[in-house]
Amino acid sequence: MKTGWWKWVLFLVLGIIFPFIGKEGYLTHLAIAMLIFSILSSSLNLLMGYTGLVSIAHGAFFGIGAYTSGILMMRAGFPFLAALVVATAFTGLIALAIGIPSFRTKGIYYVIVTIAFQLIVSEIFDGWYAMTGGGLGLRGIPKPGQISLPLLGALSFKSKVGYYYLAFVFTLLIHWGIARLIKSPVGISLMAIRDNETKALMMGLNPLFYKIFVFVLASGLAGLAGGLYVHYLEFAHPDLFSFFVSVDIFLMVMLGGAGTFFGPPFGVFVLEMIREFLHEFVALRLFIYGVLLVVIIIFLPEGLLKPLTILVKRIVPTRE
Amino acid sequence: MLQVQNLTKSFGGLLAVNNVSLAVEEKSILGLIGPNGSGKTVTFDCITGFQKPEHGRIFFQDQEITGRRPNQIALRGVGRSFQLTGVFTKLTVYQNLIFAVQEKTLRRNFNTSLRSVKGWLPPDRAKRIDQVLEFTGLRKVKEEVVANLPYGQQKILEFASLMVMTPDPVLYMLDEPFAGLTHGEVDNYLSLMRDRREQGRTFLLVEHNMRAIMGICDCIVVLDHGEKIAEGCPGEIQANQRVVEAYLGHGGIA
Repeated sequence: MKTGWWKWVLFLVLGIIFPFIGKEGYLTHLAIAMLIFSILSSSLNLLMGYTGLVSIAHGAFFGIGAYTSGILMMRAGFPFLAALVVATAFTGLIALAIGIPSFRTKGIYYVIVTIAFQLIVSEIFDGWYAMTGGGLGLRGIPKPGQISLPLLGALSFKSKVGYYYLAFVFTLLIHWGIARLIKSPVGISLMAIRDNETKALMMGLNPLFYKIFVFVLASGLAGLAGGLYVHYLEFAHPDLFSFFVSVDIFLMVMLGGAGTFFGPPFGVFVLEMIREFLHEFVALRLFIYGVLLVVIIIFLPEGLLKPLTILVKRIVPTRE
Repeated sequence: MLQVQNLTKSFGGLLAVNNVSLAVEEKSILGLIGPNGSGKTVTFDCITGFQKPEHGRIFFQDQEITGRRPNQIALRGVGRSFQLTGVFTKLTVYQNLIFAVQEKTLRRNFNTSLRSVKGWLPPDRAKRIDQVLEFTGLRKVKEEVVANLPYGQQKILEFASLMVMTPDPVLYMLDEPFAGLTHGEVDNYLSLMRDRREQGRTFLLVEHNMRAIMGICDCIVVLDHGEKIAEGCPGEIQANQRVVEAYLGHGGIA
Protein backbone atom coordinates (compact mmCIF):
# COMPACT_ATOMS: atom_id res chain seq x y z
CA MET A 1 0.00 0.00 0.00
CA LYS A 2 2.56 2.55 -1.10
CA THR A 3 0.28 5.55 -1.41
CA GLY A 4 -1.57 5.11 1.85
CA TRP A 5 1.29 3.93 4.03
CA TRP A 6 1.05 6.94 6.30
CA LYS A 7 -2.48 5.86 7.27
CA TRP A 8 -1.09 2.58 8.55
CA VAL A 9 1.65 4.32 10.51
CA LEU A 10 -0.84 6.80 11.94
CA PHE A 11 -3.16 4.01 13.00
CA LEU A 12 -0.26 2.05 14.49
CA VAL A 13 1.04 4.98 16.50
CA LEU A 14 -2.38 6.12 17.69
CA GLY A 15 -3.26 2.56 18.50
CA ILE A 16 -0.24 1.95 20.65
CA ILE A 17 -0.45 5.27 22.46
CA PHE A 18 -4.18 5.26 23.03
CA PRO A 19 -4.36 3.21 26.27
CA PHE A 20 -2.18 5.76 27.99
CA ILE A 21 -5.00 8.19 27.43
CA GLY A 22 -7.88 5.86 28.02
CA LYS A 23 -6.40 3.73 30.81
CA GLU A 24 -9.04 1.55 32.47
CA GLY A 25 -11.89 3.85 31.66
CA TYR A 26 -14.89 3.91 29.41
CA LEU A 27 -12.86 5.18 26.44
CA THR A 28 -10.77 2.02 26.40
CA HIS A 29 -13.91 -0.07 26.62
CA LEU A 30 -15.26 1.83 23.61
CA ALA A 31 -12.00 1.36 21.76
CA ILE A 32 -12.06 -2.40 22.28
CA ALA A 33 -15.62 -2.57 20.98
CA MET A 34 -14.70 -0.46 17.95
CA LEU A 35 -11.69 -2.62 17.14
CA ILE A 36 -13.82 -5.76 17.23
CA PHE A 37 -16.55 -4.15 15.14
CA SER A 38 -13.91 -3.03 12.65
CA ILE A 39 -13.15 -6.69 12.07
CA LEU A 40 -16.87 -7.25 11.53
CA SER A 41 -17.35 -4.34 9.16
CA SER A 42 -14.19 -4.99 7.16
CA SER A 43 -15.05 -8.65 6.73
CA LEU A 44 -18.57 -7.77 5.61
CA ASN A 45 -17.01 -5.23 3.26
CA LEU A 46 -15.00 -8.02 1.68
CA LEU A 47 -18.29 -9.67 0.88
CA MET A 48 -20.37 -6.60 0.02
CA GLY A 49 -17.96 -3.97 -1.19
CA TYR A 50 -15.46 -6.12 -3.04
CA THR A 51 -17.53 -9.06 -4.26
CA GLY A 52 -20.95 -7.43 -4.39
CA LEU A 53 -22.67 -9.98 -2.13
CA VAL A 54 -24.96 -8.59 0.55
CA SER A 55 -25.24 -10.61 3.75
CA ILE A 56 -27.55 -9.98 6.68
CA ALA A 57 -26.20 -13.00 8.54
CA HIS A 58 -23.04 -11.43 9.88
CA GLY A 59 -24.56 -11.07 13.33
CA ALA A 60 -25.38 -14.77 13.36
CA PHE A 61 -21.82 -15.78 12.50
CA PHE A 62 -20.57 -13.25 15.06
CA GLY A 63 -22.67 -15.14 17.59
CA ILE A 64 -21.75 -18.65 16.49
CA GLY A 65 -18.07 -17.87 16.95
CA ALA A 66 -18.80 -16.15 20.24
CA TYR A 67 -20.81 -18.91 21.87
CA THR A 68 -18.54 -21.64 20.54
CA SER A 69 -15.39 -20.01 21.86
CA GLY A 70 -16.98 -19.17 25.18
CA ILE A 71 -18.39 -22.65 25.71
CA LEU A 72 -15.20 -24.40 24.67
CA MET A 73 -13.18 -22.45 27.17
CA MET A 74 -15.76 -22.46 29.91
CA ARG A 75 -16.94 -26.06 29.77
CA ALA A 76 -14.37 -28.00 27.80
CA GLY A 77 -11.34 -26.38 29.33
CA PHE A 78 -9.83 -25.22 26.08
CA PRO A 79 -7.06 -22.66 26.35
CA PHE A 80 -7.89 -19.26 24.90
CA LEU A 81 -6.18 -19.42 21.52
CA ALA A 82 -7.33 -22.98 20.86
CA ALA A 83 -10.92 -22.02 21.64
CA LEU A 84 -10.65 -19.05 19.31
CA VAL A 85 -9.19 -21.07 16.45
CA VAL A 86 -11.72 -23.88 16.75
CA ALA A 87 -14.58 -21.39 17.02
CA THR A 88 -13.42 -19.61 13.88
CA ALA A 89 -13.04 -22.87 11.97
CA PHE A 90 -16.45 -24.07 13.13
CA THR A 91 -18.08 -20.81 12.05
CA GLY A 92 -16.41 -21.15 8.67
CA LEU A 93 -17.70 -24.67 8.31
CA ILE A 94 -21.26 -23.57 8.97
CA ALA A 95 -20.82 -20.78 6.44
CA LEU A 96 -19.68 -23.41 3.94
CA ALA A 97 -22.81 -25.47 4.59
CA ILE A 98 -24.99 -22.42 4.05
CA GLY A 99 -23.00 -21.03 1.16
CA ILE A 100 -22.93 -24.04 -1.12
CA PRO A 101 -26.69 -24.25 -1.68
CA SER A 102 -27.23 -20.47 -1.49
CA PHE A 103 -24.88 -19.40 -4.23
CA ARG A 104 -26.23 -21.92 -6.66
CA THR A 105 -29.47 -19.95 -6.71
CA LYS A 106 -29.89 -17.16 -9.19
CA GLY A 107 -30.16 -13.50 -8.47
CA ILE A 108 -30.58 -12.15 -4.98
CA TYR A 109 -32.17 -15.18 -3.36
CA TYR A 110 -29.04 -15.82 -1.35
CA VAL A 111 -29.74 -12.53 0.51
CA ILE A 112 -33.04 -13.99 1.66
CA VAL A 113 -31.20 -17.10 2.75
CA THR A 114 -28.85 -14.99 4.87
CA ILE A 115 -31.78 -13.22 6.49
CA ALA A 116 -33.52 -16.51 7.18
CA PHE A 117 -30.32 -17.98 8.55
CA GLN A 118 -29.83 -15.01 10.87
CA LEU A 119 -33.36 -15.34 12.25
CA ILE A 120 -33.07 -19.11 12.72
CA VAL A 121 -29.74 -18.80 14.51
CA SER A 122 -31.12 -16.10 16.79
CA GLU A 123 -33.92 -18.48 17.71
CA ILE A 124 -31.40 -21.18 18.51
CA PHE A 125 -29.39 -18.84 20.72
CA ASP A 126 -32.59 -17.94 22.51
CA GLY A 127 -34.09 -21.37 22.77
CA TRP A 128 -31.22 -23.78 23.39
CA TYR A 129 -31.09 -23.07 27.09
CA ALA A 130 -28.86 -25.97 28.04
CA MET A 131 -26.11 -24.88 25.65
CA THR A 132 -26.40 -21.12 25.42
CA GLY A 133 -28.27 -20.13 28.55
CA GLY A 134 -31.08 -18.80 26.37
CA GLY A 135 -32.46 -15.41 27.27
CA LEU A 136 -30.47 -15.32 30.49
CA GLY A 137 -27.25 -15.40 28.58
CA LEU A 138 -24.00 -17.15 29.26
CA ARG A 139 -22.11 -15.86 32.24
CA GLY A 140 -18.65 -16.52 33.46
CA ILE A 141 -16.85 -16.79 30.17
CA PRO A 142 -13.21 -16.72 31.12
CA LYS A 143 -10.73 -14.16 29.95
CA PRO A 144 -7.44 -15.36 28.52
CA GLY A 145 -4.57 -15.91 30.89
CA GLN A 146 -1.32 -14.05 31.05
CA ILE A 147 1.46 -14.20 28.56
CA SER A 148 4.97 -13.07 29.32
CA LEU A 149 6.63 -10.84 26.79
CA PRO A 150 10.37 -10.29 26.66
CA LEU A 151 11.34 -6.93 28.18
CA LEU A 152 7.75 -5.98 28.99
CA GLY A 153 7.18 -8.66 31.53
CA ALA A 154 3.88 -10.38 32.06
CA LEU A 155 0.98 -8.95 30.12
CA SER A 156 -2.34 -9.69 31.71
CA PHE A 157 -5.45 -9.61 29.61
CA LYS A 158 -7.73 -9.25 32.56
CA SER A 159 -7.34 -5.50 32.51
CA LYS A 160 -9.00 -3.34 29.90
CA VAL A 161 -5.65 -2.07 28.70
CA GLY A 162 -4.28 -5.58 28.36
CA TYR A 163 -7.29 -6.77 26.41
CA TYR A 164 -7.14 -3.65 24.27
CA TYR A 165 -3.68 -4.61 23.05
CA LEU A 166 -4.89 -8.12 22.33
CA ALA A 167 -7.77 -6.81 20.23
CA PHE A 168 -5.44 -4.31 18.59
CA VAL A 169 -3.00 -6.98 17.43
CA PHE A 170 -5.78 -9.16 16.03
CA THR A 171 -7.40 -6.21 14.25
CA LEU A 172 -4.08 -5.18 12.75
CA LEU A 173 -3.22 -8.65 11.49
CA ILE A 174 -6.67 -9.23 10.02
CA HIS A 175 -6.68 -5.89 8.22
CA TRP A 176 -3.21 -6.50 6.88
CA GLY A 177 -4.47 -9.82 5.52
CA ILE A 178 -7.52 -8.23 3.95
CA ALA A 179 -5.42 -5.50 2.35
CA ARG A 180 -3.15 -8.11 0.83
CA LEU A 181 -6.07 -10.23 -0.40
CA ILE A 182 -7.68 -7.29 -2.18
CA LYS A 183 -4.62 -6.62 -4.30
CA SER A 184 -3.92 -10.25 -5.02
CA PRO A 185 -5.17 -12.25 -8.03
CA VAL A 186 -8.02 -13.56 -5.86
CA GLY A 187 -9.00 -10.00 -4.91
CA ILE A 188 -9.03 -8.80 -8.51
CA SER A 189 -11.18 -11.79 -9.43
CA LEU A 190 -13.68 -10.93 -6.68
CA MET A 191 -13.96 -7.37 -7.94
CA ALA A 192 -14.44 -8.63 -11.48
CA ILE A 193 -17.34 -10.74 -10.26
CA ARG A 194 -18.79 -7.68 -8.58
CA ASP A 195 -18.48 -5.44 -11.62
CA ASN A 196 -19.55 -7.78 -14.38
CA GLU A 197 -20.13 -11.41 -13.48
CA THR A 198 -21.23 -12.30 -17.02
CA LYS A 199 -18.00 -11.00 -18.48
CA ALA A 200 -15.92 -12.74 -15.81
CA LEU A 201 -17.73 -15.97 -16.68
CA MET A 202 -16.95 -15.49 -20.35
CA MET A 203 -13.29 -15.03 -19.52
CA GLY A 204 -13.00 -18.45 -17.95
CA LEU A 205 -13.79 -17.78 -14.29
CA ASN A 206 -16.22 -19.85 -12.23
CA PRO A 207 -17.93 -17.41 -9.85
CA LEU A 208 -19.41 -20.11 -7.60
CA PHE A 209 -16.11 -21.14 -6.03
CA TYR A 210 -15.05 -17.55 -5.45
CA LYS A 211 -18.35 -16.60 -3.84
CA ILE A 212 -18.24 -19.56 -1.49
CA PHE A 213 -14.63 -18.82 -0.66
CA VAL A 214 -15.20 -15.19 0.29
CA PHE A 215 -18.42 -16.01 2.14
CA VAL A 216 -16.63 -18.60 4.29
CA LEU A 217 -13.70 -16.26 4.88
CA ALA A 218 -15.84 -13.25 5.83
CA SER A 219 -18.13 -15.29 8.06
CA GLY A 220 -15.20 -17.05 9.71
CA LEU A 221 -13.69 -13.67 10.52
CA ALA A 222 -17.00 -12.62 12.03
CA GLY A 223 -16.81 -15.73 14.21
CA LEU A 224 -13.30 -14.79 15.26
CA ALA A 225 -14.54 -11.33 16.23
CA GLY A 226 -17.25 -13.05 18.24
CA GLY A 227 -14.71 -15.02 20.21
CA LEU A 228 -12.72 -11.90 20.96
CA TYR A 229 -15.86 -10.08 22.06
CA VAL A 230 -17.25 -12.57 24.57
CA HIS A 231 -13.96 -13.27 26.27
CA TYR A 232 -13.74 -9.56 26.90
CA LEU A 233 -17.31 -9.17 28.13
CA GLU A 234 -17.14 -12.48 30.03
CA PHE A 235 -20.76 -12.74 28.95
CA ALA A 236 -22.81 -13.71 25.92
CA HIS A 237 -26.43 -12.99 25.09
CA PRO A 238 -28.62 -13.50 22.00
CA ASP A 239 -29.30 -9.75 21.72
CA LEU A 240 -25.65 -9.15 20.99
CA PHE A 241 -25.87 -11.20 17.80
CA SER A 242 -29.33 -10.38 16.53
CA PHE A 243 -30.75 -9.32 13.20
CA PHE A 244 -30.41 -5.71 14.37
CA VAL A 245 -26.72 -6.19 14.93
CA SER A 246 -26.44 -7.49 11.37
CA VAL A 247 -28.15 -4.33 10.18
CA ASP A 248 -25.79 -2.27 12.36
CA ILE A 249 -22.76 -3.83 10.70
CA PHE A 250 -24.35 -3.34 7.28
CA LEU A 251 -24.86 0.34 8.14
CA MET A 252 -21.27 0.72 9.27
CA VAL A 253 -20.05 -0.58 5.93
CA MET A 254 -22.40 1.64 3.93
CA LEU A 255 -21.74 4.73 6.06
CA GLY A 256 -18.02 4.41 5.75
CA GLY A 257 -18.02 3.36 2.14
CA ALA A 258 -18.47 -0.15 0.76
CA GLY A 259 -15.63 -1.16 -1.49
CA THR A 260 -13.07 1.12 0.12
CA PHE A 261 -10.50 -0.17 2.56
CA PHE A 262 -10.60 2.45 5.30
CA GLY A 263 -14.29 3.19 4.86
CA PRO A 264 -15.87 0.48 7.03
CA PRO A 265 -13.68 1.05 10.12
CA PHE A 266 -14.47 4.73 9.72
CA GLY A 267 -18.13 3.77 9.55
CA VAL A 268 -17.73 1.92 12.85
CA PHE A 269 -16.35 5.09 14.38
CA VAL A 270 -19.13 7.30 13.00
CA LEU A 271 -21.93 4.97 14.05
CA GLU A 272 -20.44 4.67 17.51
CA MET A 273 -20.29 8.47 17.81
CA ILE A 274 -23.89 8.73 16.69
CA ARG A 275 -24.86 6.12 19.24
CA GLU A 276 -23.08 7.98 22.01
CA PHE A 277 -24.76 11.25 21.17
CA LEU A 278 -28.17 9.67 20.83
CA HIS A 279 -27.90 7.80 24.11
CA GLU A 280 -30.98 9.52 25.44
CA PHE A 281 -33.05 8.69 22.42
CA VAL A 282 -32.68 4.93 22.50
CA ALA A 283 -36.33 4.48 21.62
CA LEU A 284 -35.82 6.39 18.39
CA ARG A 285 -32.89 4.19 17.43
CA LEU A 286 -34.64 2.16 14.77
CA PHE A 287 -36.24 5.24 13.28
CA ILE A 288 -32.91 7.02 13.09
CA TYR A 289 -31.25 3.99 11.53
CA GLY A 290 -33.95 3.85 8.89
CA VAL A 291 -33.52 7.52 8.07
CA LEU A 292 -29.76 7.11 7.98
CA LEU A 293 -30.01 4.19 5.60
CA VAL A 294 -32.25 6.10 3.20
CA VAL A 295 -30.01 9.18 3.32
CA ILE A 296 -26.91 7.13 2.61
CA ILE A 297 -28.44 5.26 -0.28
CA ILE A 298 -29.76 8.40 -1.94
CA PHE A 299 -27.10 10.99 -1.20
CA LEU A 300 -23.98 9.15 -0.15
CA PRO A 301 -23.88 5.80 -1.93
CA GLU A 302 -20.11 5.88 -1.68
CA GLY A 303 -20.18 6.42 2.06
CA LEU A 304 -18.84 9.24 4.17
CA LEU A 305 -15.12 8.69 4.00
CA LYS A 306 -14.57 9.58 0.35
CA PRO A 307 -16.42 12.92 0.35
CA LEU A 308 -14.86 13.74 3.70
CA THR A 309 -11.38 13.02 2.38
CA ILE A 310 -12.00 15.21 -0.67
CA LEU A 311 -13.22 18.00 1.61
CA VAL A 312 -10.18 17.74 3.83
CA LYS A 313 -7.87 17.75 0.81
CA ARG A 314 -9.49 20.99 -0.38
CA ILE A 315 -8.97 22.71 2.94
CA VAL A 316 -5.56 21.34 3.84
CA PRO A 317 -2.98 21.52 1.04
CA THR A 318 -1.28 18.14 0.76
CA ARG A 319 2.21 17.47 -0.43
CA GLU A 320 2.03 14.64 -2.98
CA MET B 1 -12.76 -24.09 -36.47
CA LEU B 2 -16.36 -23.56 -35.38
CA GLN B 3 -19.25 -25.65 -36.63
CA VAL B 4 -22.87 -24.99 -35.72
CA GLN B 5 -25.30 -27.69 -36.85
CA ASN B 6 -29.09 -27.34 -36.88
CA LEU B 7 -29.22 -24.96 -33.97
CA THR B 8 -32.72 -24.47 -32.60
CA LYS B 9 -33.77 -22.43 -29.58
CA SER B 10 -37.16 -21.10 -28.55
CA PHE B 11 -38.39 -19.05 -25.63
CA GLY B 12 -41.83 -20.00 -24.44
CA GLY B 13 -43.20 -20.81 -27.86
CA LEU B 14 -41.32 -18.11 -29.75
CA LEU B 15 -38.81 -19.72 -32.09
CA ALA B 16 -35.78 -17.46 -31.78
CA VAL B 17 -33.36 -19.64 -33.72
CA ASN B 18 -34.71 -22.19 -36.19
CA ASN B 19 -32.41 -24.83 -37.65
CA VAL B 20 -29.44 -22.56 -38.19
CA SER B 21 -26.19 -24.05 -39.42
CA LEU B 22 -22.94 -22.26 -40.07
CA ALA B 23 -19.23 -22.93 -40.20
CA VAL B 24 -16.31 -20.62 -39.54
CA GLU B 25 -13.05 -21.50 -41.26
CA GLU B 26 -9.78 -21.03 -39.48
CA LYS B 27 -8.25 -17.57 -39.84
CA SER B 28 -11.33 -16.24 -41.57
CA ILE B 29 -13.81 -13.56 -40.59
CA LEU B 30 -17.48 -14.56 -40.73
CA GLY B 31 -20.15 -11.91 -40.42
CA LEU B 32 -23.55 -12.73 -38.97
CA ILE B 33 -26.10 -10.15 -39.97
CA GLY B 34 -29.85 -9.70 -39.99
CA PRO B 35 -32.54 -7.31 -38.86
CA ASN B 36 -33.15 -6.77 -35.16
CA GLY B 37 -34.73 -9.79 -33.55
CA SER B 38 -33.46 -12.23 -36.16
CA GLY B 39 -31.74 -14.40 -33.59
CA LYS B 40 -28.13 -13.31 -33.86
CA THR B 41 -27.46 -12.74 -30.17
CA VAL B 42 -29.35 -15.90 -29.19
CA THR B 43 -27.12 -17.82 -31.58
CA PHE B 44 -24.12 -16.25 -29.91
CA ASP B 45 -25.48 -17.11 -26.48
CA CYS B 46 -26.00 -20.74 -27.49
CA ILE B 47 -22.49 -21.05 -28.90
CA THR B 48 -20.90 -19.47 -25.81
CA GLY B 49 -22.95 -21.41 -23.30
CA PHE B 50 -25.31 -18.78 -21.93
CA GLN B 51 -28.30 -20.58 -23.41
CA LYS B 52 -28.92 -24.29 -23.91
CA PRO B 53 -30.13 -25.11 -27.41
CA GLU B 54 -33.11 -27.42 -27.82
CA HIS B 55 -31.73 -29.03 -30.93
CA GLY B 56 -28.43 -28.89 -32.70
CA ARG B 57 -24.77 -29.42 -31.99
CA ILE B 58 -21.85 -27.07 -31.78
CA PHE B 59 -18.23 -28.04 -32.38
CA PHE B 60 -15.16 -25.98 -31.65
CA GLN B 61 -11.89 -27.30 -33.06
CA ASP B 62 -13.67 -30.60 -33.70
CA GLN B 63 -14.66 -30.98 -30.06
CA GLU B 64 -18.31 -30.78 -29.05
CA ILE B 65 -19.12 -27.81 -26.84
CA THR B 66 -22.93 -28.00 -26.99
CA GLY B 67 -24.44 -27.18 -23.63
CA ARG B 68 -21.14 -26.52 -21.90
CA ARG B 69 -20.87 -23.57 -19.53
CA PRO B 70 -19.38 -20.23 -20.65
CA ASN B 71 -16.29 -20.46 -18.48
CA GLN B 72 -15.48 -23.90 -19.82
CA ILE B 73 -15.87 -22.68 -23.38
CA ALA B 74 -13.70 -19.66 -22.67
CA LEU B 75 -10.95 -21.88 -21.27
CA ARG B 76 -10.90 -23.76 -24.57
CA GLY B 77 -9.95 -20.60 -26.45
CA VAL B 78 -13.16 -18.75 -27.27
CA GLY B 79 -13.25 -15.05 -26.48
CA ARG B 80 -16.44 -13.03 -26.64
CA SER B 81 -17.31 -9.38 -26.46
CA PHE B 82 -20.71 -8.16 -25.38
CA GLN B 83 -23.22 -5.77 -26.88
CA LEU B 84 -23.40 -3.35 -23.97
CA THR B 85 -20.97 -3.65 -21.10
CA GLY B 86 -18.02 -5.93 -21.52
CA VAL B 87 -15.60 -4.29 -19.14
CA PHE B 88 -15.16 -3.98 -15.38
CA THR B 89 -16.33 -0.48 -14.71
CA LYS B 90 -15.03 0.20 -11.21
CA LEU B 91 -11.57 -1.06 -11.98
CA THR B 92 -8.85 0.82 -13.82
CA VAL B 93 -7.82 0.02 -17.39
CA TYR B 94 -4.69 -1.60 -16.05
CA GLN B 95 -6.65 -3.72 -13.55
CA ASN B 96 -9.00 -4.85 -16.33
CA LEU B 97 -5.99 -6.12 -18.25
CA ILE B 98 -4.45 -7.72 -15.17
CA PHE B 99 -7.63 -9.68 -14.64
CA ALA B 100 -7.63 -10.75 -18.27
CA VAL B 101 -4.02 -11.90 -18.20
CA GLN B 102 -4.01 -13.73 -14.86
CA GLU B 103 -5.21 -17.25 -14.14
CA LYS B 104 -8.92 -17.78 -13.69
CA THR B 105 -9.26 -20.82 -11.48
CA LEU B 106 -9.61 -20.26 -7.73
CA ARG B 107 -7.09 -22.92 -6.88
CA ARG B 108 -4.30 -21.40 -8.95
CA ASN B 109 -5.10 -17.86 -7.90
CA PHE B 110 -5.26 -18.83 -4.24
CA ASN B 111 -1.84 -20.46 -4.42
CA THR B 112 -0.37 -17.47 -6.22
CA SER B 113 -1.94 -15.05 -3.73
CA LEU B 114 -0.30 -16.85 -0.83
CA ARG B 115 3.15 -16.40 -2.30
CA SER B 116 5.12 -13.21 -2.68
CA VAL B 117 3.69 -10.11 -4.32
CA LYS B 118 6.30 -10.36 -7.08
CA GLY B 119 4.68 -13.50 -8.37
CA TRP B 120 1.29 -11.89 -8.78
CA LEU B 121 2.16 -10.43 -12.17
CA PRO B 122 5.05 -12.34 -13.77
CA PRO B 123 7.30 -10.25 -16.06
CA ASP B 124 6.22 -11.97 -19.27
CA ARG B 125 2.60 -11.16 -18.55
CA ALA B 126 3.38 -7.61 -17.51
CA LYS B 127 5.18 -7.25 -20.82
CA ARG B 128 2.20 -8.58 -22.74
CA ILE B 129 -0.05 -6.00 -21.06
CA ASP B 130 2.43 -3.28 -21.82
CA GLN B 131 2.63 -4.20 -25.50
CA VAL B 132 -1.14 -4.21 -25.85
CA LEU B 133 -1.46 -0.90 -24.01
CA GLU B 134 0.99 0.58 -26.48
CA PHE B 135 -0.58 -1.01 -29.56
CA THR B 136 -4.13 0.06 -28.73
CA GLY B 137 -3.19 3.53 -27.58
CA LEU B 138 -4.54 2.94 -24.09
CA ARG B 139 -1.24 3.48 -22.31
CA LYS B 140 -2.02 7.10 -21.43
CA VAL B 141 -5.25 6.14 -19.64
CA LYS B 142 -4.00 2.99 -17.98
CA GLU B 143 -4.62 4.24 -14.43
CA GLU B 144 -8.03 5.67 -15.27
CA VAL B 145 -11.15 4.08 -13.82
CA VAL B 146 -13.03 2.58 -16.75
CA ALA B 147 -16.36 4.16 -15.85
CA ASN B 148 -14.74 7.54 -16.58
CA LEU B 149 -13.62 6.59 -20.06
CA PRO B 150 -15.52 7.53 -23.23
CA TYR B 151 -17.55 4.71 -24.75
CA GLY B 152 -15.25 4.21 -27.72
CA GLN B 153 -12.25 3.64 -25.47
CA GLN B 154 -14.20 1.16 -23.36
CA LYS B 155 -14.84 -0.88 -26.49
CA ILE B 156 -11.16 -0.79 -27.40
CA LEU B 157 -10.37 -1.90 -23.85
CA GLU B 158 -12.69 -4.86 -24.26
CA PHE B 159 -10.82 -5.85 -27.39
CA ALA B 160 -7.50 -5.30 -25.64
CA SER B 161 -8.63 -7.65 -22.87
CA LEU B 162 -9.17 -10.35 -25.48
CA MET B 163 -5.72 -9.69 -26.93
CA VAL B 164 -4.09 -10.12 -23.57
CA MET B 165 -6.29 -12.87 -22.15
CA THR B 166 -5.13 -16.10 -20.58
CA PRO B 167 -5.91 -18.55 -22.12
CA ASP B 168 -5.24 -16.90 -25.46
CA PRO B 169 -8.47 -16.93 -27.53
CA VAL B 170 -8.18 -18.33 -31.04
CA LEU B 171 -11.78 -17.52 -31.88
CA TYR B 172 -13.01 -13.97 -31.28
CA MET B 173 -16.80 -13.70 -31.15
CA LEU B 174 -17.73 -10.04 -31.26
CA ASP B 175 -21.32 -8.97 -30.60
CA GLU B 176 -21.98 -5.62 -32.28
CA PRO B 177 -18.56 -4.16 -31.46
CA PHE B 178 -19.09 -1.04 -33.56
CA ALA B 179 -22.41 0.04 -32.07
CA GLY B 180 -22.11 3.62 -30.92
CA LEU B 181 -18.65 4.20 -32.36
CA THR B 182 -17.65 7.07 -34.65
CA HIS B 183 -16.24 6.52 -38.12
CA GLY B 184 -12.72 6.94 -36.87
CA GLU B 185 -13.24 4.66 -33.93
CA VAL B 186 -14.63 1.95 -36.21
CA ASP B 187 -11.59 2.19 -38.47
CA ASN B 188 -9.34 2.00 -35.42
CA TYR B 189 -11.14 -1.13 -34.20
CA LEU B 190 -10.99 -2.70 -37.68
CA SER B 191 -7.24 -2.23 -37.85
CA LEU B 192 -6.87 -4.02 -34.52
CA MET B 193 -8.96 -6.87 -35.91
CA ARG B 194 -6.86 -7.07 -39.08
CA ASP B 195 -3.71 -7.28 -36.99
CA ARG B 196 -5.16 -10.12 -34.94
CA ARG B 197 -6.21 -11.95 -38.07
CA GLU B 198 -2.68 -11.67 -39.35
CA GLN B 199 -1.54 -13.27 -36.10
CA GLY B 200 -3.75 -16.23 -36.95
CA ARG B 201 -7.01 -15.52 -35.11
CA THR B 202 -10.50 -16.32 -36.36
CA PHE B 203 -13.51 -14.00 -36.10
CA LEU B 204 -17.26 -14.43 -35.85
CA LEU B 205 -18.84 -11.04 -35.97
CA VAL B 206 -22.40 -9.82 -35.39
CA GLU B 207 -22.94 -6.33 -36.73
CA HIS B 208 -25.34 -3.83 -38.23
CA ASN B 209 -22.69 -1.54 -39.64
CA MET B 210 -22.79 -2.59 -43.30
CA ARG B 211 -19.74 -0.62 -44.39
CA ALA B 212 -17.63 -2.40 -41.78
CA ILE B 213 -19.13 -5.83 -42.45
CA MET B 214 -18.75 -5.69 -46.20
CA GLY B 215 -15.26 -4.35 -45.80
CA ILE B 216 -13.79 -6.91 -43.48
CA CYS B 217 -15.75 -10.18 -43.74
CA ASP B 218 -14.67 -13.06 -45.94
CA CYS B 219 -18.06 -14.67 -45.70
CA ILE B 220 -21.48 -13.57 -44.47
CA VAL B 221 -24.47 -15.43 -43.07
CA VAL B 222 -27.83 -13.65 -42.99
CA LEU B 223 -30.56 -14.46 -40.48
CA ASP B 224 -34.17 -13.36 -40.56
CA HIS B 225 -36.77 -14.35 -37.99
CA GLY B 226 -34.47 -17.04 -36.68
CA GLU B 227 -33.75 -18.68 -40.01
CA LYS B 228 -30.75 -18.56 -42.29
CA ILE B 229 -31.85 -16.89 -45.51
CA ALA B 230 -28.54 -16.38 -47.28
CA GLU B 231 -24.88 -17.23 -47.15
CA GLY B 232 -21.96 -16.16 -49.27
CA CYS B 233 -19.32 -13.54 -49.90
CA PRO B 234 -20.12 -9.85 -49.42
CA GLY B 235 -20.75 -9.21 -53.10
CA GLU B 236 -23.32 -12.00 -53.38
CA ILE B 237 -25.08 -10.91 -50.21
CA GLN B 238 -25.39 -7.30 -51.28
CA ALA B 239 -27.02 -8.43 -54.52
CA ASN B 240 -29.35 -10.91 -52.85
CA GLN B 241 -32.93 -9.71 -53.21
CA ARG B 242 -34.21 -11.59 -50.21
CA VAL B 243 -31.60 -10.01 -47.96
CA VAL B 244 -32.51 -6.54 -49.17
CA GLU B 245 -36.18 -7.26 -48.53
CA ALA B 246 -35.48 -8.52 -45.04
CA TYR B 247 -33.83 -5.26 -44.14
CA LEU B 248 -36.28 -3.10 -46.09
CA GLY B 249 -34.18 -0.04 -45.96
CA HIS B 250 -32.43 -0.78 -42.66
CA GLY B 251 -29.07 -0.46 -44.30
CA GLY B 252 -27.24 0.25 -41.13
CA ILE B 253 -24.62 2.95 -41.04
CA ALA B 254 -23.15 3.21 -44.51
